[in-house]
Amino acid sequence: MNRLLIPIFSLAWLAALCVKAPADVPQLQYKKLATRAETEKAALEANAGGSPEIKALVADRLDLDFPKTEEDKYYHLLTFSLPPDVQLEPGALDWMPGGKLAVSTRVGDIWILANPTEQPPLHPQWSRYASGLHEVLGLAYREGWLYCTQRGEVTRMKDTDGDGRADLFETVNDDWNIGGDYHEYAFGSKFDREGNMWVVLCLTGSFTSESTFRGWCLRVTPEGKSIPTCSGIRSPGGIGMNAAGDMFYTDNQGPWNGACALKHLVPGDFMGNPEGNRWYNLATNLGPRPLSPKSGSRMMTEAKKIPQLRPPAVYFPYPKMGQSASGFFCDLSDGLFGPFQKQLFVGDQTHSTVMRVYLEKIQGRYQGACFPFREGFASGSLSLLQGTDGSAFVGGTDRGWGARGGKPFALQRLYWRGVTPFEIQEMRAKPDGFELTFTEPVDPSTAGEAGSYKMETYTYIYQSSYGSPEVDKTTPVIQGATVAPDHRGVRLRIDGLQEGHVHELHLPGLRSEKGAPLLHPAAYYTLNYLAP
Amino acid sequence: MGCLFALPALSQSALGAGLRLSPNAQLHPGVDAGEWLLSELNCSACHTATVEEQKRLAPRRSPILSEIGSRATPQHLRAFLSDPQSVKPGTPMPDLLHALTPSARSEAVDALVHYLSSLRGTNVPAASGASAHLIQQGQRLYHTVGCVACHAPQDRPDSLGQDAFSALESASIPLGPLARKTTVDALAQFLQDPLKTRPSGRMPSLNLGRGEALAIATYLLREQASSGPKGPRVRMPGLHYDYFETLVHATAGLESAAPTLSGSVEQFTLAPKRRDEQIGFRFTGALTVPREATYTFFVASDDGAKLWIDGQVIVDNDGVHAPSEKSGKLALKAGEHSIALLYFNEYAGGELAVRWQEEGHGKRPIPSAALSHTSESMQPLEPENLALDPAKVARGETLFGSMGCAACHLGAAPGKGPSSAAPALAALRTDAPKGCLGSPGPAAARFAFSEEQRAAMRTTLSKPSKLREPLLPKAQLARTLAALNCLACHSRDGAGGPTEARNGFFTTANNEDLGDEGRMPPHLSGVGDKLRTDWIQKVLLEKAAVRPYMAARMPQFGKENVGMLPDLFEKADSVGASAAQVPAPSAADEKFGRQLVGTGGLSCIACHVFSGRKSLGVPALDLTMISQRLKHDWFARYLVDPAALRPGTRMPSFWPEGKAANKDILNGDTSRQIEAIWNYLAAGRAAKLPEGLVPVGVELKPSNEAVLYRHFIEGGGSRAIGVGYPEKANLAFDANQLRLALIWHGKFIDAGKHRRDRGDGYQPPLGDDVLRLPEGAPFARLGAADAPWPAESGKSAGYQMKGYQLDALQRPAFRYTFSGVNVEDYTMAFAHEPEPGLRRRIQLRSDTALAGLYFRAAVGAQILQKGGGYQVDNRLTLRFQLPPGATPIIRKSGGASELLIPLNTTATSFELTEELTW
Repeated sequence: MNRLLIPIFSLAWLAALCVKAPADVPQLQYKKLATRAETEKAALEANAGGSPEIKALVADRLDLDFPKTEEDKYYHLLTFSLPPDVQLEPGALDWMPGGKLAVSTRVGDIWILANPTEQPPLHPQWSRYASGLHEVLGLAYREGWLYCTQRGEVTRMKDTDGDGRADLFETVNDDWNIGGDYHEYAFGSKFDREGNMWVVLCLTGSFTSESTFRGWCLRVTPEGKSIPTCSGIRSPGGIGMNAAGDMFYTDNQGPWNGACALKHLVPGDFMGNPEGNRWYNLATNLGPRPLSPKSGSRMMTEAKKIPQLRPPAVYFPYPKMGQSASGFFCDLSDGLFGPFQKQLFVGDQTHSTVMRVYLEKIQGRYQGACFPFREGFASGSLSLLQGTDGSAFVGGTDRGWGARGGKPFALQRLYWRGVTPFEIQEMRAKPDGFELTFTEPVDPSTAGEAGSYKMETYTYIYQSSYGSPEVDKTTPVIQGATVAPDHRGVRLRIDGLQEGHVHELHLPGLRSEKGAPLLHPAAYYTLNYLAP
Repeated sequence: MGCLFALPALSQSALGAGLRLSPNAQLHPGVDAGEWLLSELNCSACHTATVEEQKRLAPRRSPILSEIGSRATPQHLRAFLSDPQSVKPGTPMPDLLHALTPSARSEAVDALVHYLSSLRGTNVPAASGASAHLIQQGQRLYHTVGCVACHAPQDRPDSLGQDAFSALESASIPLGPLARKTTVDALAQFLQDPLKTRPSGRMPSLNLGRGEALAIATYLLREQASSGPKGPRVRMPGLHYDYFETLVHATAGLESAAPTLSGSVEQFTLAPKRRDEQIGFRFTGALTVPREATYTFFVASDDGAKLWIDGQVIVDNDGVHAPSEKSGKLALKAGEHSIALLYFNEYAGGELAVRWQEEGHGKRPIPSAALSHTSESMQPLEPENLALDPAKVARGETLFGSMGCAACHLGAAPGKGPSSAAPALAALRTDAPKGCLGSPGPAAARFAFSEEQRAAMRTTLSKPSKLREPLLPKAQLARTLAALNCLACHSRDGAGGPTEARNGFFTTANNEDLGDEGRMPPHLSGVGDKLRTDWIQKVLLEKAAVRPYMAARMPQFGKENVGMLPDLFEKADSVGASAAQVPAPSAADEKFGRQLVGTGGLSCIACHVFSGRKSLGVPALDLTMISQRLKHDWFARYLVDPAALRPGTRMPSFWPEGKAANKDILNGDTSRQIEAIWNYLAAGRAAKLPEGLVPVGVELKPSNEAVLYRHFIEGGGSRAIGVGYPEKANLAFDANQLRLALIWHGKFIDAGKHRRDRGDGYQPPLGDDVLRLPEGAPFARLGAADAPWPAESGKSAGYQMKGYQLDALQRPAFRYTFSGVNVEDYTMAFAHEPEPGLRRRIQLRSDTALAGLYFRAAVGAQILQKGGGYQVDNRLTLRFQLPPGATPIIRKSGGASELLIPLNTTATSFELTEELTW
């Protein structure tokens, strides 16, 4: 299963490096000593003081041998150097033939990174494929064409003369409008199973819908036709599919959004913000305009009245998990990215993090839990893409919204070191509680003790004004915790589950069989529907 | 004591719904309702109180009536004194005349009206005219600056149902029949300084300027404008306008038209228009010229406009045309001159700008202060002409003292203070059948108590000894916040804050992106722990304000009413961190503070204003104000966990769980980082600017190939594609309308605006000689050669953008279609003297013959055929290469000249080359 498994302290890794790296990479003399400082000193001496390249290689080995944080022991982050004077701010990423990575930028360029998996990335080979585009927030490659979602249209481009730069740009669809407001972003997906690209359109100023189809999701067919698909969108941060090929997007806290959330896009559905519903007259393929929700109500109360209203699949409690949910990918690497196959990894721009989401279907609808996963990205995580080797590419920007990472922009690569962190793997709703599974066997005594768990529930006011505090708080009683025979799971029996509430679980007392605490002892399950 | 006062509708009594005082008083758990009523109703004015009692109650001071005759009309005074509750339901003013016989009562009222009307002081209110502009302005101000935190909104907003709106009205302080009571000028004077006549501070000052106060007063008295008696004409600021909805092709067409709407505006503006096309305006008024000089007037318009001064046409920019400016010059003497302007717009975009320039000075818009017009003055409704009768005045003065009015309204009749025979406060019997709380006898006042209010006062009075104890600071704080209705806007310890019905009236002045933080007044929980005492004092007494983005204003309540609050907050909230615990600033760390605040660090300036300079994103609080306002200890706690101290804030933590997100600066040491920021910001406005704050231009320079810039370009639309050519001629193609929108020389564009911050707004071209080419569809099929050019363009005219292909030098050939015709539109630049030009090749292909199609090459006031080319408005020269038989046509249409090229070919393809020099 661990195809990328590299023993951390093994010199075999160095051999692997030498095979991968270009011929001009010098041989590194390196031996791990007790501390980082000693090792660094010895390595630099052994390599004659160290050229800049040697220093970079040494720094990379030191980072591997002396993880900077607990998270870094399991998931390691590499940062690409960028061409000089390039304002990268990656809005979207996709793969081009030959293992090349296409990176679209805020300033309208598309850059190609020819060797994205070079390890460490000492010689990134950058070239500019296109420029002069309008804030591209979606890239998808198909049959010789690179499709991009610009603010005003879906465009496809191609390099017809083979000089490495696109020269033919075709408007695929522009059935929505923009009015000059910076908030009218357009995010485009990869192609779904029918070959459609899904485009989610932010509201005007993120509050109103002044231009056609602002606040909507449109599908653009392979023939370039658009199909109005979902209404109710506010301010998307990313769009993508889960392992089953169902389409999701993230929407940000604001009017009618109590907190940032991951939402499932089902054709015909209303995603919650009614500002864009004025365009139903242009969406004749859909049924009648949904009833307007009542401000000040609760999501699930309104969902019972408004059949088209689809509650968020997963809330990212604000600001505990994040403040600006963004792009995401589904781990389809079959184990190359660690033990979380088929889960979603969702960026948060403000916190410069990547969160993890487990989804299940209850009463035919997706819901599930989010967990902290990895912090410490250099800039505000925005665009995420997984490579065939399992590693994740994360583009970041601070873009006028501050981000913890602090850098104005960055492109980074996160890979699994092959060591399994002790984490909650899945959290499933049960009629009388939750079922947890873990990445490592648990210690049955702490795991079987109800006192190892703490749970609180709350929901949000569903309202026209900005965001919401956590309201209607309850404290359910954990009546019992039963450890599965294989010690990989725990069944929590809980009195007082609250339909429509986020169930925030803390597991401070839980230990693994080896006695370790959870890397992230918290989970947030959005229980829209009780498990039957 | 529950919700006694917010829900008076629950206690309908014969006397009405109870007294409407501070509607949120019930929210304070620490307030004794009965005691609070004793204070609010100034009971100790009649019922003598001991010094201790007086100190504890701190009674509300009643309005000063020394100049009431200049503020309130006789008709209002008569009605109000006759039955206070029916005129102003919920007023705390008691009925002192209730025991008189009807004839004695009306005689007493008459005498009091004469007396009060005689109290005029020296202030003579000025007449004020009706102005639609002021009414609109006042409506906006009334509903945004904070009036509706206590008073009811004037119209029901869509978001409130009728029941909710009625409930909101009865939970509001009543305004009474203002249009009958007072004049615009008197009300405006009151609004500017309410404490002068109402010293209690219950009606605080909202720091209104004279113009703002006038606008709100005009709005509140708007009924006088629509249905009141009209007074003599008075001078009003701004211009009178008539707005027309009619299709004309020159300004003369408006002379005979009937206006759709009339009103006044501050200056020349098209703002009152209700649609964009087929409209006209006539502005009239007077221009006050500051000094004798030669003035040049400029009128830029689309379509035509004509300006008259003293009856002479000064600028004639008439006719249908694209935006263009014309000017005229004349010598004017200082003083007043008549001014008039006619404007019309036929189709498509319309604009108007009127500016003037005094010789030797800059060109600028005519300030509204220089413009005026006259209008009929507004007069109070149902006027009563009262001839003061000295005998009645004297009788009224006596009654004012003897009936007890003077007990509360000091200052009206000096020396005629209380001569009350009422029992002392401590001696009051709560069950006295003829007392104020019972069925008042002749000696008692009749208040419109609700049963709950009565019960609350009885409870308090049953333990009179308590009133002699000093009020503890916490209770005093709660009482003050209740009396001044602070909780209408601010929440504290989980109580208060705008109610759901009023929530929508709290708006942002200019920035929706700040969310609720941009519109909601800050909470006051722990405010004494957060803010320095001297800062609280500045806010309360010196109008200090740091949230310019909030439309609601922090009112001023007067030193006597709130002077004690800073200390009370400090005592109630302080968690004990004293200034002595603040580590001494270390200058060495200041530079790290600067790094952290800048874009290379935590980028605080992404959201925060710094030293008055715009942030990169939203205009959150100015960082350089922090050390003036905040306590150090609170600041340090806040940075680690903002949401804990300010729930719902969008301020992220950069030290989650106390661990620094930035590990590079000061080795990620949380307390040193926070200390460094504090030290850096402690310099206030003297702090050196952080990195990333000063905008840097990013000029895109085409060197050996063309450069494309697809963004919001001013004049090129929201889907503009700018093309900069190395030859230094540039264009912007409008991908909405599929037209060549702009051409210019020299520098291409500054991409800085869109690459910084959030990239808001339209970017104008960077170079010179910017020409805006006509809006609208480039091609059309005309039924007849004289048919007007169709108004539709873009998608609604069947145009579809198809993309572009770049040549080896990155020059795009735009592709688009319309009605089955494929167009390729390719432009290159060429060297030309004195400035470079553009050569455009347009190829059309269709499955059917192109006959009947026209290409509109130019629109202008004047198009002349000259030297093998065509000259448009003396500015742009066009030369064509056309297939044989295609001959350009110059035609007049809709008052403008158009240059059309007929594609009168039976062929299915057509190619033309157009050379543009300008």
